[in-house]
Amino acid sequence: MTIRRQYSLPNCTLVLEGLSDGSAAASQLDMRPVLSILMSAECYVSGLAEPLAGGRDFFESLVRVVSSYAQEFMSGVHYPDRHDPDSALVQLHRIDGNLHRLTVLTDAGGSPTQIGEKTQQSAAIDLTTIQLFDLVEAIDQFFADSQTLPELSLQLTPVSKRYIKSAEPMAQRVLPAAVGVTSLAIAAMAFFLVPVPGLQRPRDPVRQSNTTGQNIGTPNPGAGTPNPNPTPAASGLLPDDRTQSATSPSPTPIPTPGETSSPTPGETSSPTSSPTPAADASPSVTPTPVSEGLQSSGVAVAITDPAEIEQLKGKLSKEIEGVLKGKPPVEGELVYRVSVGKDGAIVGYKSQNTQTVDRIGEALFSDLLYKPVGTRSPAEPLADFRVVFAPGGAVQVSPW
Amino acid sequence: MRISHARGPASPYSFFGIDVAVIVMPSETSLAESNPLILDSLPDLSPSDGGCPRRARLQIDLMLLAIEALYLGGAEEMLAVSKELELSGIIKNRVALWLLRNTNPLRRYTQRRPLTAMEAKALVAIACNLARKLTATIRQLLQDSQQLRSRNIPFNQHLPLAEYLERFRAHFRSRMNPKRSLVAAYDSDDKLNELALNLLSKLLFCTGTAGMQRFWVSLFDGEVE
Repeated sequence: MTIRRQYSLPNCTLVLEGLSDGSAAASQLDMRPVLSILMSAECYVSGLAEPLAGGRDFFESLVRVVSSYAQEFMSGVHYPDRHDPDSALVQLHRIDGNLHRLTVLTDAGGSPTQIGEKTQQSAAIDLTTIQLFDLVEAIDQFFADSQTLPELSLQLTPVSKRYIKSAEPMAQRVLPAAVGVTSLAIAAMAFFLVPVPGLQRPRDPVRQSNTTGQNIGTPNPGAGTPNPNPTPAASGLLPDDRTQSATSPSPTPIPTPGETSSPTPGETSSPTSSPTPAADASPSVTPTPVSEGLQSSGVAVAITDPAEIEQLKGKLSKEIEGVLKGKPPVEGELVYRVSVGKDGAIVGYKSQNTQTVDRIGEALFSDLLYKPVGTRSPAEPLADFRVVFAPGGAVQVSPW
Repeated sequence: MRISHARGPASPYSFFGIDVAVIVMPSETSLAESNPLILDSLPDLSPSDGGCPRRARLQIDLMLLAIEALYLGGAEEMLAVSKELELSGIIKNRVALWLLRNTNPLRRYTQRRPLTAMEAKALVAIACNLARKLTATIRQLLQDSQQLRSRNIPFNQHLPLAEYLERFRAHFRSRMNPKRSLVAAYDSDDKLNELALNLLSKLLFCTGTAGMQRFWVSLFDGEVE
């Protein structure tokens, strides 16, 4: 008895007729028998009077080609026919996005016994996408049906990279690399013609070049770099040394740290040279304070206000008494000239004694001496006081 | 429209009266048990563990975009379907879905994270499930576009088709980064219409019995060794 299986879709009907294998049927009691021997396959496509018909070869070819074409349609990647493309009974080609040409080579006799005399008679149908889908769906339903030709099942595998590559001609694959190499070469040549930019050494700050006593970097130091050294010369501190340095930098005496940067009013009063505060802080720690402040007090503005002087006097004597406490009294009378800033800070002092036995006073004032931390105004008004240490332990402070 | 088998096997799924046979692929039943059942029918194809290829990410998102254009509220429906298919473990919420879809390199807010095979499978399952539910609409629109084309009538004469195309164009333009050359290539309405119809016919293939497998495998064409 023949078994007939039909898969119907709106635009396509697939009809299979065949026989059941006896052994398989015996095991299936209540289920429909397995169609294992295919006798004929017919494919009715809407709009086509005659069905596409054929034997097992035709059907296998149809199933394989349609299935892989459906994948090609979905991914847009061409599926190479792994079987011999010329001998395939069924072929599908894309015409445009919506039309697909199905070509079927038919047997001349139409009978399975005369398959050897196949001629090139072919039927070609243009399927729309919907018709194609119905055909694919009919075939998928056949695949899903385990009771019809169970040895044929849906085998979907993505196309390998290798097939994609081999589809591309060699020249096309080499082109991008060639373009890249060529453009690199052109760029290299273009850069070769561009001149090497000359190196311009950075101009050293003037202060640094002077303290080191060398002018390495600057091409013309005399004209280009303003030298701050001549200006302090105007203040009359060290006229001999400083004036030379303006023209010839090499013999400039390397100033001792104490001289260059001690914040004495004389130097700081000149507006051009403004030592950085960091430089100011270090020299004040020197153990022997230089008494330049006293000598130059004429340059700085003296405090003349009697009330202010009186106030400063009180402040100073208080300070001295505070330090003097607990110390042994001096042996002889000691006289000091002390310069005091507006805020009462002792900026300088000088011994007025002919004897040199004033260790106590030295120690005392070095404690009291104002150690500038921040910037101190250069033209600060000062007041001078006479400080007398009496042998009895009394201290007398009076304006100078 | 009714698709019927001569004597179809027992069909657990039925959409719009279409009986859909369940395919059991014996070679792929040995996947991890923790995965949702529906994803077991999709083979593991990722070339390496670095996530899905670029074309796959792009294609999945475009298909979902076409579904959104077909059906108002499609984005909400995607979440509902993911719950229905027990994919909530992979797509936890709206934001997670948005992040997954933004792995599409053409998106304005494209994410630099990979799309894992499991996430991609979940999105494919959702797309195919929704496509199946929309089978009637998809077929009708394709049929109409075919007829309009053969008679040289512009698409905007046909209201449902014009609506779909307009919505797709709007979605595409608002979400894709116009600075990408691939997006810039779709600069005219006609080109976008062409893309929309192309996606529609691909969605039709997703509605089939083996549509999900076909779509999934097609994403890896030319990407595997």
